[in-house]
Amino acid sequence: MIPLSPTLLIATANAFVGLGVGRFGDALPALFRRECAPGAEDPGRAWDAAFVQHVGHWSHFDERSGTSSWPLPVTGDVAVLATFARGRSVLREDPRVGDIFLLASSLGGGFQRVGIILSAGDPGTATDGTRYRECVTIEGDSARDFSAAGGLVLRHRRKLSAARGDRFLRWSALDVRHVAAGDVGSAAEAMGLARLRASA
Amino acid sequence: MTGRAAVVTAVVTHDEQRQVYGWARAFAELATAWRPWLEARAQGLTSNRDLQEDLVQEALIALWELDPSRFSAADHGPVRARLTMRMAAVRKSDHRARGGGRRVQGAVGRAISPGLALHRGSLTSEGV
Repeated sequence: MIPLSPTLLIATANAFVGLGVGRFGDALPALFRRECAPGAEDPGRAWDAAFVQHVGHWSHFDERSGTSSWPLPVTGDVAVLATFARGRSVLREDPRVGDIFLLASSLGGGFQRVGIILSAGDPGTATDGTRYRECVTIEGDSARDFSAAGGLVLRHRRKLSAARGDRFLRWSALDVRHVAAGDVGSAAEAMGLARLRASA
Repeated sequence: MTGRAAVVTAVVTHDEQRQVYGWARAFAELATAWRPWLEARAQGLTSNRDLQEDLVQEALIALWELDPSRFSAADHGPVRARLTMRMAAVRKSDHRARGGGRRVQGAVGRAISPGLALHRGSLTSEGV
């Protein structure tokens, strides 16, 4: 079983940057959607969450056991991820490298997008006084102008803010070995981050 | 020719693999695309040219605060309604400062887009 590691997730996600609709038709999005909803893919549905599911699953896939240690539910639905994270108490207000960000809509109504945190910069303050962290992310089904359903996997620089409702899914805290030991994920998080720092 | 096309595709892909797209790009693209619409809205609210430009600038500030990287094309209707509300509020305060009366309410009502009716709950708190 492969230990949960932000390094593995980021490395796998990086390999998809620049790909999406237009390079190989819609084969890639279709693959992501099919994995989340076998036989019931909705071609019109955004695939940002499905992309996270795909890279999460395969970055933690162990060929010997034929299983993946990726701890999140198989879904292409942001709301399902949020509900799961709340139930497991892994929804945080400060980002860490490798977290999955849940982007709050500026119009209210919950989360509208997910992606992977590549780096979390220093805190800043917006013109309306809102505190934020400037993060570099990798997102599926995106576009250069940030519009949703853009069809590409791209890197973006975002201002993410807990005050605006954004949250960060600390999936590395779901490592079952540490839950059993009563130490919820801290060692697993440290391990993954140590690898990232060493490679920086 | 085929070889040349293949090279161009590879370069574009490489650029996308390295590029980090900043949130300001989302604002710049939307601000450029919506400017004519904002100007038309401002002209509908006032005939004062200086105030029209102020209203457009105020709407652009509102757009920046909303952060265009946080909504999709499907949300453009409600977002435009919010911008209109912001312009109308500025128009109203300017009218009051000049000693104007209640006639502004009608102008505000006409300026708000039809999309407002669908999002009345989230917009009334803005205060016009």
